[in-house]
Formats: sequence, C-alpha cells, structure tokens
Amino acid sequence: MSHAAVRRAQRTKPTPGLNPDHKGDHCIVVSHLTKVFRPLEIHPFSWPPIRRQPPICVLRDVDLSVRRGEILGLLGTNGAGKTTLLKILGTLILPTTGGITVEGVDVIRERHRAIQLVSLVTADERSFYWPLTGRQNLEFFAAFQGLSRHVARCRIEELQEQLGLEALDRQFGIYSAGMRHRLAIARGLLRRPHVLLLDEPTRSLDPVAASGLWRLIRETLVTQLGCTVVLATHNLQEAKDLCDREVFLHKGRLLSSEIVKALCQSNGDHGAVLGEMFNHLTAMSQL
Amino acid sequence: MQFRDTIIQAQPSWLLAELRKVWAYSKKEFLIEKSYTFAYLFSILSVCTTITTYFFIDRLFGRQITSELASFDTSYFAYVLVGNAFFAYVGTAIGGIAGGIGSEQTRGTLEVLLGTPTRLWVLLLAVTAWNTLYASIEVVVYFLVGAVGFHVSFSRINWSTLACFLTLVIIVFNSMGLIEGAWILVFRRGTVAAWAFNGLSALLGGVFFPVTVLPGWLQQIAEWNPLTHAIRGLQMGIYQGAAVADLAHEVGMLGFFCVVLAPLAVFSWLWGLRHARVEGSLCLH
Repeated sequence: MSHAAVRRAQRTKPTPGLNPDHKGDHCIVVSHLTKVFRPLEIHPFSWPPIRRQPPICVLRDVDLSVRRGEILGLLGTNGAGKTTLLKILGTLILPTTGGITVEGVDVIRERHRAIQLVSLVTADERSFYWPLTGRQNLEFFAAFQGLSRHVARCRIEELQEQLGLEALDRQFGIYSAGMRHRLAIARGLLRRPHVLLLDEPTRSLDPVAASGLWRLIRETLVTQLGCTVVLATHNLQEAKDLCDREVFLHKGRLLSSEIVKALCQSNGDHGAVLGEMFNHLTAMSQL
Repeated sequence: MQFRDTIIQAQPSWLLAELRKVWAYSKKEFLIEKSYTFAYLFSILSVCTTITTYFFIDRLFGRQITSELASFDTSYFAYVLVGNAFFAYVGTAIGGIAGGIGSEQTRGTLEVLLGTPTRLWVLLLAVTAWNTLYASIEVVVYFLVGAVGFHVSFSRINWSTLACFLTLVIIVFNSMGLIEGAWILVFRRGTVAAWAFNGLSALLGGVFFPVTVLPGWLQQIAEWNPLTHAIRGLQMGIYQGAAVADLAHEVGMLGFFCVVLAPLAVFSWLWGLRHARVEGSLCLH
C-alpha cells in the first residue's frame, strides 16, 4: 500500500481554521477564477508613451476546492498557469475575475488575514540575500513573518535537522542549487502555515533530500499538524506518491479531477494514467 | 496545536513585532554593506577627496567672502562643505531607496517580503530607515573631516534649527525616493526625471554656490526645488545660528513639499503595489 493510500485511510480530523464562522470541510475554495495579464510598456519616443501590451489569458474560469489536510497535486505543462494560480492563492497576484477563500477568509478582500494562513515556496532559488549566510537570511525572513527571535532560532534549529541544512553559517552565494532550494523550503516552513503552496519543491533536490522532504510534508505537516498542501509539479512520481488527488491545468483551464479519477479506476494503474495524460497534454500544447 | 502556539508566541505585541521588521531590515542592509568593506572605505575616501578639492579651490581664489556668501557669513569652503554633506540625502533617496527597491524586485525578495504579514507602512519605513541612517553617517563624516581636518568652525550651530530642517529634509527626499521606487515597481525601470532631478537639483539647489549667483529666471525655478530651501536653511542654522522663526519662508516651503510629497509617495505605493499584483511584476528575472 502506498504512503498516499495509508494517509487517505488515516486522514486526521479537520483542523479548525482561523475564521470562527468557517465550518466547511474545504480549506481552499476557488470559484470561476480568471486571470488576464496586460502589462504596461514605456515607449518614450512615440505617442502615447505608456501603452498596454496585448492581453494574455493565463487562467480561464478555474473552479477548485481543496479539503482540509489534503495534498493536492497541480499538474500541467510549462505555461499552463500553475505558478500563477499558486501566486494568486499566496496573495501575490490579483485575479481578473472570480473568488478565492482560504479557511473562509476572502484572499482578495482580506489579504492581511489570508496571508497569515498561507505560505508559498517558489521554485526560485535566487530570492535570498547572497552576501548573507543561510542563517542570517532565515532570521531576517522569520522577523518579517512576525516570529520572535527566540521562536525563530528554535524553528531554524528544527528545520536544519528536518531538511538537512548543512553549513547554515556559510554565505548563501556559495551554496549549491540543492542547498538554496532547501533553504527556500525552510523559509516557507518557518511559520508552520495552515496552507502550504509548493511550486516544484524537489526540482533541484537529490533523491535522498526529495524523499526527506516528502516525509516531512506527509508525516509532520499534514498528518500531525493538519496542514493543507497544494503542490505544483512536473514530477509524476512525486504526484503519485505524495498527493491525495491530482488535477491537470492545461492552457489555463482546469481539467476535471473526476476524469483523472475515472481513468485511474478503469485502468487500475494510477501512475500510468497520469503519465499518459501528461504526455497527451504536452503533445497538445506543442501543436 | 503546536503551530498555533508558535503563532501566539510570535506576536507579543503587534507594534513591537512590526518594529522588529524595521530593525531586521536595517540589520540586513548593514550586514550586506559590511560585506563590501572596500566599497564603504572608498565612499569615505571619496568624501575626503571631495572636501580636499573644494579646500584648494577656495584657496585658489584667496578665501574671499563674496557678496553672495556674505548673507551666510562664511567662506566658500565652509559653504560647499555643508552643501555637499546634505546633498547626500538626495543621492541616497533617489539612488539608494529606488535602487534598493529595484534590486529587491529583480532578486525576487520583494515578492517574498510582500508574501509575509507585513503592513505597507512598515515596509516603507524599513526601506527608508537604513538609507536615512546611511546618509546621516555620511553627513557626520563630512562634518568631522571639515572640523578636524580643515578647522571649519561649527560653534554657532543652532541645534533646534538643524533638527527641524533635518526632519523636513528626510521626509521630502525619502518621499521622492519612494515615488521613484513605485515607478520602478510598475514600469520595471527608473525614471529619467528622477535622475535629471538629481543632477539639476545640485545645480539649482545651492549645493556648490549660493542660488543668488544664478540669473533671475533660474532663481525663480530654483524656488521650486526643495533642496534650495533645505540648503539655505541649513547654512543659516549652522553658520549664523539662525532660529526656526527666522527661517519661516524656508520652513514653510519645505513643509509645503512635505504635505504634497508624503501622501503622494504613499498613494504611489498603494497604486504601484496594486498594479504590480495585477500584472504579476513583483518579481522580475
């Protein structure tokens, strides 16, 4: 029996959210979400000097709900809209239309409350201060997360052990890609969030570090603490082993998770179905 | 419920927690600055060479107090020392704050900071606090080198005037830096206007010579430059011991710039941040 299957069977009771009025079973509810980017551009020697670029529709009418304590896999090819969806959930991008709630808190209208519930770990390993050490970086971001110095130190020690963060007192600039990535994950876990948004969390990790991270997510964050996880990944093995449920994003549209479920039931081999779907979507996006 | 306890412990008082962020940001900037020790030493060296250059220019013209300098009751060298020292605030605001925001955006750390439960005013205060401190240290270095190395006398200094003008200068020029920072947030590049202002304000602001040397029409333009009033007020307060009441015109003009620029800076940031969230430009690579 896979770890994910064990987890499905042992699902813990829902953790009460910070919103006392929110009694539902779903931690994240996304409804009719659409995102169109239309950035401004400067053309100093023509009129008008400030113009909008042609619109790019990244997400189209996305409906999604994630149960509390669930690990949801967000699969899709490059440019499918996975990172944009995660950033919208992480309050860093505003949607064009539609609504999102996290633990009953409206992410768009009550940003400051929502931000205390979610933590986004991006695949970007550069978003640190390179002349500082790993520890100094973590202490800095812990202060911005609102952690006291004492709590921050304890959390850093804890994460150092859990994620195998060696040489935390060396300059960030000389870290390997894997170590930088682990530090980015540690930063996301500093304030044990209710909802963890992971964008390709094992991209630069070796197999041992990746399985360590999976164990941490599964056993500590989800089973013990009732954290909800949304994981954007290209790694089908990771999705199969770690996630309770997978959804596919393709050119901004969310393919129904029911299709994936039905295919898995008829085929029997979960991994093979995911692989086939992924290959099919990759071929479609290249047309 | 272990993590819930962590959150509760994490916030002994919201104000203290927010001020810790300002402290953490300044500490981070200090540590980065410290890692480039040579750059810092060179900036001190450049202060010394600038001062020395003006000392010999003053000597070349026989250390005369011309009619334009008479109202300040000081030599050209002492005048230009104060002008250069306080011009550091302009350079820091335009170059330091806006440049810092630009590099946080390019590095991707701005997005991470905005993904934390941090209020906008805290972030703005954090960004400006270190730059103000840095510029103030530079001012002190100018004064120390002037007093110790070149025997410039600051015995008539009026401290309340100095404090009043410093407060106004910090608000005005940091507001300008923040407006420029908001522009970078939206358009991902600095404004030509800001750099033009930086260069022109030295020429028209009385940094290197009193504004009265300029032709009448340029003096009219200089009246709308906050640096003109800042430098004039500081020169009078430092070398003549003028009280705040004696400098009502300068205080009034700087107060006017504060009232206009400070809300404009906050508004620019609110608009800029919203725009960056709409267009996803908080992080650029």
